[in-house]
Amino acid sequence: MEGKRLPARSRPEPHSSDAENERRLVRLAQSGDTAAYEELVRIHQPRLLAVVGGILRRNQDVEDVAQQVLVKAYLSLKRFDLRSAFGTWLYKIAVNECWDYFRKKKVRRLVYEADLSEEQLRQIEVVPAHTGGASRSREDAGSRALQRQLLDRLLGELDETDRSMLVMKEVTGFTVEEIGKVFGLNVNTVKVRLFRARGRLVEAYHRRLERRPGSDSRRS
Amino acid sequence: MFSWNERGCRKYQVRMEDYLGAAPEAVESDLELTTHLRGCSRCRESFAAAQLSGRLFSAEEPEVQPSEAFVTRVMASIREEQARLFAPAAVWRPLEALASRFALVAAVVLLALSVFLGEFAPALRQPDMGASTEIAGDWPEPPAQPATQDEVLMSLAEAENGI
Repeated sequence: MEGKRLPARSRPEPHSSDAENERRLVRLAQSGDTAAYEELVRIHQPRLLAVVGGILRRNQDVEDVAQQVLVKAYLSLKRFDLRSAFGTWLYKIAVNECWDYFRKKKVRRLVYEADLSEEQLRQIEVVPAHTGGASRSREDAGSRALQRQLLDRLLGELDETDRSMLVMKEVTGFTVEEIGKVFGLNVNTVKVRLFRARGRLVEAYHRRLERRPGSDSRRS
Repeated sequence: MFSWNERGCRKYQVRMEDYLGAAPEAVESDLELTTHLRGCSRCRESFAAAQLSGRLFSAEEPEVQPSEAFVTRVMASIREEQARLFAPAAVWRPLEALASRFALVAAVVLLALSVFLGEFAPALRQPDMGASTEIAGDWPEPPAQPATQDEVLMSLAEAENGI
């Protein structure tokens, strides 16, 4: 078992003054102040793009979907009752918008059915622990790109919720509490779902390794 | 491999998720979990898999550079959407849509009605007595019928004389 895990990319919890400032901006925006909403867009833009990008997996429509999320949020801002943080509400809209995108476009299978070539899979062998190649992969931009491609395909084998939760936790640095608020689940349920989703992800990874011709069992 | 039926494993899954980023010593200090892991091969495997999953994400680059162009685009899109929704013409837009649908329905009803009338109306129509009166108006008045014997004789005589 590996004890040292790559640092989680987390965003510090907003200070209470930040939270208060955000509530003030939301109230102003609710009364029609577009400059206040513009400020909210500026604050949440990086994280929103990371969430949408993480779920859509570098799809060319990431910015369009994120833009659609922000327009939708603005148009229904009057219905937002400030009981939760604006960000939680916004990311909930974002996750739903991403799922709608997949349903409308029906792209998920088309994108992820295509498999990696033999050569690509051979290069991605840097990932598992027994190869000891994680640092090598970090040095090699090409390998990193391939590793991202592999992850795209592995995530494509998970269901929408598992996939979104894992991306939010591992890529965007959401805390389990934040994920719970977005999905309306308690913290322990989020932890269990994340834990099981990780298992399914690695299971998919092992299946891929085993499908390779001439491969022996690579499980550690 | 990853279908846990044992209820007991769920609470350890919560704890294993917590320990994913922790040092091995931290896990070892949790005697209850360590004991469970020794006796549950499924949890042992899944813990190892969960740790590997972190490495699968190691190439991710989540940092997205803030872009002023994106903010500008979003705000322009909002203004556009507002203009579309609150323009004066927008008030009538639902009515326009309704009117066109109404016109279509009316046309279909009229067509159906005319076909129905054309096909079935003659059979259903009652004989129109008024029409015979009108026709009669176009023809010469028939001679009045003689009411008495004298009138009969007079009419025969007139016929004989060619009047």
